[in-house]
Amino acid sequence: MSHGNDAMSDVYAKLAWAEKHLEDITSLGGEYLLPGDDDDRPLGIEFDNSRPPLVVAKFLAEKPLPTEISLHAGDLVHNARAALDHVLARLKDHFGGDSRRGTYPITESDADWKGRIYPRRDCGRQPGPLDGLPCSVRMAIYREQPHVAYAGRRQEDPIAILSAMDNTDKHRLLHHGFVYPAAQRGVDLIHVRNRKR
Amino acid sequence: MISEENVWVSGQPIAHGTVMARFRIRGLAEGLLRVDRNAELKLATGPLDAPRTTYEDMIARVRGIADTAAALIDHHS
Repeated sequence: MSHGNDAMSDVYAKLAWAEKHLEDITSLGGEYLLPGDDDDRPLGIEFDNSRPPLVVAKFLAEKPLPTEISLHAGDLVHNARAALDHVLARLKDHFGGDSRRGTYPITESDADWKGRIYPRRDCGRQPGPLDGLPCSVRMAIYREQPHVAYAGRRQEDPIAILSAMDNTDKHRLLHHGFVYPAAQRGVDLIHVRNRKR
Repeated sequence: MISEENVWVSGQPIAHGTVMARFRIRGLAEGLLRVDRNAELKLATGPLDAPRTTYEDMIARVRGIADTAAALIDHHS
């Protein structure tokens, strides 16, 4: 293992723990996401043929999605976001700065970056999250920002979504889980046994 | 089968009772239509109107940042 990988070992451990939550979500989801129309399958399609010759196919989700899925999702998001903060702390351990201070910045624009990295208040410079790090490391972190790495579509950057979900989960609400068909059209979910009949 | 009309398309909201399709048939409906048991359902969490990604992509993106940081340390050591 390289010196750098060794320094990031707790980061990789956090990510492995996030992946464990993903496995739990997949496992719980696998028991739930079974399309069908039998009693043993909570999701499916109901065929309403009360007005012949019309048959209306409606989506059924009679059992709510297990709350545990949302709880695992919240833990996954939090572990992944915390892993970024560990990246910053380990960089400070190596290059300089107080590793107990500052969170890994996730910014929306150059102005946002400047405001967060070089904060000013009452005409004076305030401590910033990257203080103590050399310019080369600050630039490496800058290049990972959503508005730089995903220029023109920063909202699609997975770490921008991660940051938003982590903030929401911490401060406001549990994320709702929901299911949706992978099919492009409703009729793609339905098998017609004999079209010529 | 006289006709089939698709109603729901991917990306539209879906909930218990959402109409997916309508069919007009001759004779009895029983046994003619079935759910495709191989149809795949996916799971998501978060606000419906927010930008989307996968959990795998989130983790991979953070891992990429960690790898870059590790390389910086290696380069400096």
